[in-house]
Amino acid sequence: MDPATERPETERDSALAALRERIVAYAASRISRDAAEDLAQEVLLVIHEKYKDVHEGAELLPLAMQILRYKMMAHFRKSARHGDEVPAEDYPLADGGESPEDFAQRREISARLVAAVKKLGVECRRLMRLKLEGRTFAEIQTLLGAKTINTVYTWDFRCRKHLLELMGGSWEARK
Amino acid sequence: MTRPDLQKLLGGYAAGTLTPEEQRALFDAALADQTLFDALADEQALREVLADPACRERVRAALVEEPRIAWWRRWPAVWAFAAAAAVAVVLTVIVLRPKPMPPAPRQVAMDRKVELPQPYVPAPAQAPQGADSRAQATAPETPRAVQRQLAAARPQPRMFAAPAPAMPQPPALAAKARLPEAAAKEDLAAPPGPGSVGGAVHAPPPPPPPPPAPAAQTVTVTGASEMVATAEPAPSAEQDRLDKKQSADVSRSRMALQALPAFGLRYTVLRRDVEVPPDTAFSRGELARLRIEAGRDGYLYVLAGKRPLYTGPVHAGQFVFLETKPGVLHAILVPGPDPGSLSTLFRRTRRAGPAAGIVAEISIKSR
Repeated sequence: MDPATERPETERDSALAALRERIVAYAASRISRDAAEDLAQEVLLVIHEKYKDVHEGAELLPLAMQILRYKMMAHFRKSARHGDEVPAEDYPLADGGESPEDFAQRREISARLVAAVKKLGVECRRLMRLKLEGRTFAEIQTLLGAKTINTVYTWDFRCRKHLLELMGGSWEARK
Repeated sequence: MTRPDLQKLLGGYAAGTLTPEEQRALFDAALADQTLFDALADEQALREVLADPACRERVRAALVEEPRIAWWRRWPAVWAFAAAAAVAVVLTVIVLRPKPMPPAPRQVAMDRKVELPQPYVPAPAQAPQGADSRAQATAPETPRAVQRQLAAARPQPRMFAAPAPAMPQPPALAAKARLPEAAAKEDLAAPPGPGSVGGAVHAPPPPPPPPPAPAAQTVTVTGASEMVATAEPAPSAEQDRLDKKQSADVSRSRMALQALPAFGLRYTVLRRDVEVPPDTAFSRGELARLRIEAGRDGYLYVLAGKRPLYTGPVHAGQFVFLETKPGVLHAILVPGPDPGSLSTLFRRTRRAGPAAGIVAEISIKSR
């Protein structure tokens, strides 16, 4: 029973509560705690208003991740323009569309990624290419002749780590 | 799936290659695990880029391209050729670099020592102490004898001489052999001193006083046919008869002597007009002076390889001076001018044996 609504707690409520906790913790490690609380509230508000039909936690999580990233980017942009004190009401709600800034940032990440993958070794390039072609780890294991799938996991972990280093330690252009 | 396995699925999340089961397991775990959630949130940027078909294709195309090759890895054939050329140049320099001339092996022309019968020497006033004193005792002071004495006082040079087999000499001839000029010629053919190398016709040390009857005596003749020619007997009736008998012997002896390979050759090495030992090493480019002396009249050839340094007649006791760089020279003393090629003279003379002439190899060392 939810004490606020006085109705039985559903799976969606449990998932949203868990999501809020994770979002606040994640955002607090990058921005201020108050801003992180406001950010989590904004994310959950978007989910509540636009994705009422999504109930399972495994489905809610990618949605929350995507909304969280947009909110974080907006927060960083406003901080760059006006300083750290950004009123919560200034945050625009996600409209489902892509802003020109988001498009430009994605293009920038793409260019950095292209430059970085060219510096990878032959094996990593082959593994990454198979992944981008939509191959699952099991298929990659067969194609590369790995003895176990854990070998493929290990190769992938090392290649991603190397790729992240080549990109400067972050996928994004700026935090 | 265990948590480490779920961590490994992160790579598939960004690329969108996780199966529905893997995706569900990963998300469920991320809801319960803050670390996994943070990792997923960090991967979101990459996931969005790779979710764009245009960006995804661009990255995939970059992965298909051949990796860049370092500049020094390009054109391996060119680099290999350049390296081979450099090695060839270095090897050529090493091989063609002038090497220091190894010390020439010391070659000595040695004649077989001939055991000679006891020569006849007239009784001197006093027992001579050596070759020089013998010359003084048996010959008056003549300019040539003085030269011999001076030469004996200098360091002993190398000497090469052909063997002169002992010839029995008639008593009259033996007596004539002590004439001054003949004595001087004998002196040249005297055995070398302690510092000399090479064989020579040896005249043994002065023997004890000769016996009164020299008829059985023999004397060493060393190409001294002139000795016979210049000897004049004292007129006497008794000797006329003997001379007639001996004249035939003299003629035969002269013919035999003329056929003898009795050429002596002596050389001395000079450095700035100062005599030095024959094995003195000269510096590169320094000129050594050679003084060559023939034991009798003949024709002298001094060759440096095939290049003649001296060709011409020489007379007994006459010096021939040459200047040459360190190296090996060949001195050939023959009775007369050689009509053949100089390039083969050394070989021909050596092959012909001592009867054709004396062949000496003179090695002047360099540092």
